[in-house]
Amino acid sequence: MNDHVLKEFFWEKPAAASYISARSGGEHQMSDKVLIRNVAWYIRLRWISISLLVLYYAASALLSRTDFFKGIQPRGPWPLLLALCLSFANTVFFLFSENIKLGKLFPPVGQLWAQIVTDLFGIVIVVHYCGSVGTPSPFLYVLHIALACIFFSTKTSLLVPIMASMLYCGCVALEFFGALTPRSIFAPEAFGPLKYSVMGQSLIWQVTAVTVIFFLLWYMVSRLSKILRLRESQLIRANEETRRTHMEKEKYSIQMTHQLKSPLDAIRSNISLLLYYKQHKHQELPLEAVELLHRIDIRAKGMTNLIVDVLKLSRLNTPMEKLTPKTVEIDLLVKEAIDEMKSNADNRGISIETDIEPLSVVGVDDHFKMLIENLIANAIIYSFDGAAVRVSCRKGAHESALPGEAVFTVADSGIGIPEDKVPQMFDDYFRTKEAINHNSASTGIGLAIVKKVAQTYGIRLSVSSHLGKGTTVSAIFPAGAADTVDAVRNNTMDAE
Amino acid sequence: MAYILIIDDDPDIANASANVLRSEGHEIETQLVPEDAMKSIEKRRPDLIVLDVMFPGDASGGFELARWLSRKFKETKQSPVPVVMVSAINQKVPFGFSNSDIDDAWLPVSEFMEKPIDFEILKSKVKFLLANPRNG
Repeated sequence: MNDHVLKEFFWEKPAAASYISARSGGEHQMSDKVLIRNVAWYIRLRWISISLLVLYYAASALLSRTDFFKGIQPRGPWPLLLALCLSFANTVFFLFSENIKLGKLFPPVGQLWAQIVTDLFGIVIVVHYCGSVGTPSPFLYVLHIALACIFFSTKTSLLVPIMASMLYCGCVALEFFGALTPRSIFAPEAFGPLKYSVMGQSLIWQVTAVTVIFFLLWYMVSRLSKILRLRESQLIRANEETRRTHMEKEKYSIQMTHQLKSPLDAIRSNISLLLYYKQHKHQELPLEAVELLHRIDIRAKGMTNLIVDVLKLSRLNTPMEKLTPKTVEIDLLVKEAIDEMKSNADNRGISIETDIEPLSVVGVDDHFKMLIENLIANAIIYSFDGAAVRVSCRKGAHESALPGEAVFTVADSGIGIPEDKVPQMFDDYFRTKEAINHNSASTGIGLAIVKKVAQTYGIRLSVSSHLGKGTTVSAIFPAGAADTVDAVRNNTMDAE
Repeated sequence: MAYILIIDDDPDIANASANVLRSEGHEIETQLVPEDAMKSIEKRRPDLIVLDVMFPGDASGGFELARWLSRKFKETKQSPVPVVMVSAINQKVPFGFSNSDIDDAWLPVSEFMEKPIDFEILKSKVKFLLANPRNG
């Protein structure tokens, strides 16, 4: 399906794709689209954690007496049991996320919160068995605090450090009061027995320090996240504004074209009607009148061509980052251009010989179409009646082309260009007097368009011409022109 | 011969096409405004429509009328009326469109022509579409 701007112009305005949804509590939040992606990401992360738990259990069971585990005390099957519980939970989360009906009962925000709460409880088990004090295990909460700050608003994300602190402090309190036996993965003979009663006040300081770190982290990450979300929403708004401006400009151009072209089309319709009456209704028209009508038609056609060419040239000034480069099959564009112009060529007995192989380059198809059409049209216009125009499209088919470089060449045996005028032939509105005499309707912008397209894509233009004998123009596309879209954009931005 | 409705805001272009098709023996009605054209279609179903794209104050008037026609005939389960769309905004203009843009949803027409209209081509397209109304 054609993705011309005209579709967007005439169709409903497409909804802007955004990662930031409507404001909530004065602050932008992640849209459902992003939350759904992160539900899936959390599930994958949890599978990795489950695998690590299982690996730890297996390693501790097999290698507990080796030097590798010296200083580490595995203490029981808790990793395996926790892994089983998390696996069950993760499977449920997965089913909810994948099943659309279940997903409707439980929106993405709810699913994310369910996963976070599950993880927080899972972490408290790890913290207890690894050691709630004297080990770095409490900092396992840090990841969820940071992620919550990214996904939720500042106020909402505060719930996570609060829950983490409550769970951690609760765990330490239970161990301190003997409801739970304090544990540590660090072997007692390496670090000495845990003595909560000896630790006393230092225990309070440790717990306080961990809790303060949780809230400090929440504060820093939530602030940073808020700034980034605000910046992103500003960028999205600016982008939308630019897109709207671009659309308005395109719409104006289309309407302007219509307004300028329509009167000329009406003039030419009336001329065609007079000539039609003469031909089909045998109505008498003096020869001089017929001649005048043809001259009026030529001038009107020239005006129309000028309007279209000026429009094409102005469109080439649209920055590449606003357009959508893609892989373009040059050979197909060449064939289409030849098909369009064949009837004009046939009317003058001009034959078009072709030597075309499949060739692809990356860019905007409209641009390449303008280059190809202008070169072929010029060759036909400036040929003598009954002559031949040769069009070729092959890789490496030029003495200065490197292997792999696509080369598009058009050769005619027409009026040619004086040698001293060749350097100017690509200038705006330039026409030799031979060109004016041969075709008064030419605008002098066609080759300026070719030059602009060539500059945009780094295409080399090679010209060979002899007055009265013809002109050969080759467009050599740079090697790697069939590469990525980004390479084309970067090339254009560097050139500009 | 057929009853053809020509819908174009430019009276010169509408008149020129009308005279040519009338000389082929067809009955011709011209309308300059989409709204009047719709009323005319409601009153009497044409055998073929020649439809401009852009109208003053309604840049997509032709598109909307073509879509209205398509919906109307689908709803009433009638065979579609062949539509030849004409426009000054054509494939030679950078963001113009062509026959390749024709589709049932976006551009539900049978044929597409550029302005200024080539009368011989118009006559041959009209002749073909009247003989094969489901084609295009």
